Amino acid sequence: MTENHNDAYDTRAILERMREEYWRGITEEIDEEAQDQLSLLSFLLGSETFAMPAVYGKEILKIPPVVRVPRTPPTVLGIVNLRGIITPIVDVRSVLGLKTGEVADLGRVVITEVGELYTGILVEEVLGITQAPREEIVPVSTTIAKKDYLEGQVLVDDRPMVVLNMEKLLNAPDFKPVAIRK
Amino acid sequence: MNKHIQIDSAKSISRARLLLLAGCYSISASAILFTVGLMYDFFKEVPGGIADYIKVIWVILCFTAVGQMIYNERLLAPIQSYLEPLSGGDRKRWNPLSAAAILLVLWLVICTFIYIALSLFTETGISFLGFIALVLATGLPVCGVFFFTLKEKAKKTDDISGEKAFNALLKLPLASALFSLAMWFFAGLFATFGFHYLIGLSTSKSFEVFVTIVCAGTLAFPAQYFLFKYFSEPLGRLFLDKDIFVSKEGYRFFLRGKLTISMGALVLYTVGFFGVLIYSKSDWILKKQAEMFLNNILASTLSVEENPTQKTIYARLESTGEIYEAAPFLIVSENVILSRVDLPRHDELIKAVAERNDTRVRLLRLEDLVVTLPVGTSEMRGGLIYPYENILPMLNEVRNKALIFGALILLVATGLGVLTARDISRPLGLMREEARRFSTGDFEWRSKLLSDDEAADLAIGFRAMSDEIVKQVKHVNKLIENIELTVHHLGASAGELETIARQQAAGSSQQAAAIQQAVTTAGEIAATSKQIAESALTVHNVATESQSACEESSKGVSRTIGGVEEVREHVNAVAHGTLELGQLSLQIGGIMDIIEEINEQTNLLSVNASIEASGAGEEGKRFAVLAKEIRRLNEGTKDATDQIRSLVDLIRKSTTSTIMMAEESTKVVDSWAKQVERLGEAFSNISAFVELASNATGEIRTSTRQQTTACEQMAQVVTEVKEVADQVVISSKETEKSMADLADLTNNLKEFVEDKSIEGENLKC
Repeated sequence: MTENHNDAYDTRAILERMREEYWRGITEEIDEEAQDQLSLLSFLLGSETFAMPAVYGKEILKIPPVVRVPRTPPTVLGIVNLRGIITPIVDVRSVLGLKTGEVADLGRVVITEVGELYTGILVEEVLGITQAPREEIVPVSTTIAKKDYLEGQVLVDDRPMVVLNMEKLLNAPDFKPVAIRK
Repeated sequence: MNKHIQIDSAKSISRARLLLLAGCYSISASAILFTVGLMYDFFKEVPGGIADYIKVIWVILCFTAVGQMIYNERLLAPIQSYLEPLSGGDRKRWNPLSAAAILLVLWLVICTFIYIALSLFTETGISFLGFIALVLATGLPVCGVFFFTLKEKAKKTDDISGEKAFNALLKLPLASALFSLAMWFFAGLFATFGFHYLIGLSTSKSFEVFVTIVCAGTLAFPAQYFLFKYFSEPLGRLFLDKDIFVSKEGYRFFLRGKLTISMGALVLYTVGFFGVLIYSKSDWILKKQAEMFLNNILASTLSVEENPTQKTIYARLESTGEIYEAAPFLIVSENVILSRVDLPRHDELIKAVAERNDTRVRLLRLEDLVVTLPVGTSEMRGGLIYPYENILPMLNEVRNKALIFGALILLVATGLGVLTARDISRPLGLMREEARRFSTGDFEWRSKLLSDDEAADLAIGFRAMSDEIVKQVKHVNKLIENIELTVHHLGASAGELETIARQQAAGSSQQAAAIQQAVTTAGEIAATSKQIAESALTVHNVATESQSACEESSKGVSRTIGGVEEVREHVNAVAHGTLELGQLSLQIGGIMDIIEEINEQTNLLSVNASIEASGAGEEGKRFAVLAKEIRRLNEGTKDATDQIRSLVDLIRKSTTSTIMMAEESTKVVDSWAKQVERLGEAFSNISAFVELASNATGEIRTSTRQQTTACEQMAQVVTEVKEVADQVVISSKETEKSMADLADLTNNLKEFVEDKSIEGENLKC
């Protein structure tokens, strides 16, 4: 029983490792030189990794109950009341030409603020905030999405990440009737 | 047979009615005659006197009677057709048109007959064609009236029930009398024309005759109606009650009726014969005939020529131009007649003339002379007297005609009699033939049913009797055959019995020997029985020991059962505990879910914090570090929870397997318990069996002891049996002898039956 316990979970070692990390965190300095760094909010769309500049992001929510609005395009999933602000929720995957489908438990809504408009974008999973140098963003080589709405692509930890041009994307004709003033 | 009677009863009902009405008519006819007789004095001015009257009335009666009979028959026919369904018949209904046509033809025939009859007695002045025209002129309206009456009747009877039809039948008298009245009217018309043209009666006088006849008919109508109603009905019922036309089954034309008709024919024959005889011989009738003849002559105008030289008067008939020699005479005054001829009994003549006291044509005939009064002009009042011989040829002619007419009547009567007699005798002859054939052995021949009367009943009865006899004969033949067969079998059986008796005798001898052996064996059995009794005692002892051992084993088994029960309880407790453990681990899993949810939200918070930090720019960089730290912790928590989850899954799996094992253990324990219980039962069964065995051995001991005694007694009895067997041998010999006798007897019987069957052969058909 004891052997089994050790194999399954070495509590002591883990506790040791956690403490070490904590200590290292204290000693770490804030990286000052990263002047031209762009912080990106990365997420999954159509099982591909996409990112958007974190400045557009306002908040990440679990998928709230959505009120469907009649006579709206299928890309508009509905609206939610976000602390008094009526916010539309959209599915950009079809706009980008990606395959659509049911969103699993990890699905989230990223509330963005573009041009004083709040819009919720449905994503399959939020990966987190990463930093990438601005000059490393290169034109897109992938063919999976419409290039009009893409800023470029960047490698983060050897993984390609497509950066979205949020202004163009949210001004796409598919959402025209959707925009609601703040 | 019953149906047969019913069908013909309907036919018979009309016949019976018809005869009844004919009879009634004769009664009414006499009444009418009586009435006319009474009226004679009133209408005595009619020429020809009572003789003419009777003649006319007779003719009228004849044809009204026949006409009415036909009418009644036709009137009955439609009603009859509705009565018939009641009795099961299906006779065709009369068509009114055809009935009327038949009536017209009959009318023609009857009138022709009357014409011929009249021409026999009188010198008719009209042609036959004129007569036919007359007949048609009178007959057609009658037939028309008849046709429409019948049509109405048929229409009415279409929707009435049988009972109503019968009631309508009872209304027949009124209809009949009405018809009779109509007949009288037309008959009067006919007769008046006849008088006018045939006798030469003046028109006014003819009209008087017509009125007379119609009056007579009118007077006769109520008489006839009441006679019909109050006399003919009871009379008919009287007849009906006396079974002349009616049987218990219904109306029927019976032998008695037929005989009555044939008797009637005989009477008609006799009366006709004597009537003709009298008619031809009687002077009185001759006188009447002469009167009639001369009346006919003198009805025409005579011119008298006087021959002074010969002192005779010749009378010339203007109509024909014939000249008769006559003795002239003169009437001087009302009461005195002068004649040139000195006549014997002249006074009588004068007296008779005076009695007449009129100027009409009057004729009187004395012994040898015929005197006519008066003749000639108003200045000369006188008559003709001429010899009787002058009219003799004419009288002879009349007589001859009467003889022919009589012959006709005789012919009709004979025909009627012969036909009726034949109707009676033919079925009887057929039956005689049938009886004759039956007596000679022709059992199959049957007579036809020609009539429907007692003869038919007799024939049917005879037929049934013949059938029954044939059936019986066949039955007897069969019986004899059976007896023959039985006797044959009896003979065979007797032989067999003889053989058996012989075998029995031999067997008895063997039996005696066997009995000797039986005695010996019985002794041996007794010895063996004693040994058995001893062995049984030993068995009994062993059994008692076995029983006590079994009881102890039984107790041990009971204890084992208790132990097994405890084990089961323990296993159940383990299973229960494991189950609870499983449920607890499930709860842990639930709590893990909560922790994961918290973890998730913390993660979200850290990302949001990062976003906020990046939005805050330079100031937020520290905050971003904090967020990063939170995130790192979060990942650590996630690893820990995953570990816990896998551990909980392991617990759940092992719990499930433990529960299953516990269940299997319970089953095993249960089977143990059952086996142990069975073991206990087996022990108790053994114990019971051993007890039974112990008891049985006790009984065996007792019975073996009894058997020994019985064997000894048996030996004694067997010795007695041997004596009896010896006697059986003797009696078997005797039986053998008796069987031989029986065989002989059977042979005798067989011969006898064969004789009988040879005789019976004659009866077979």
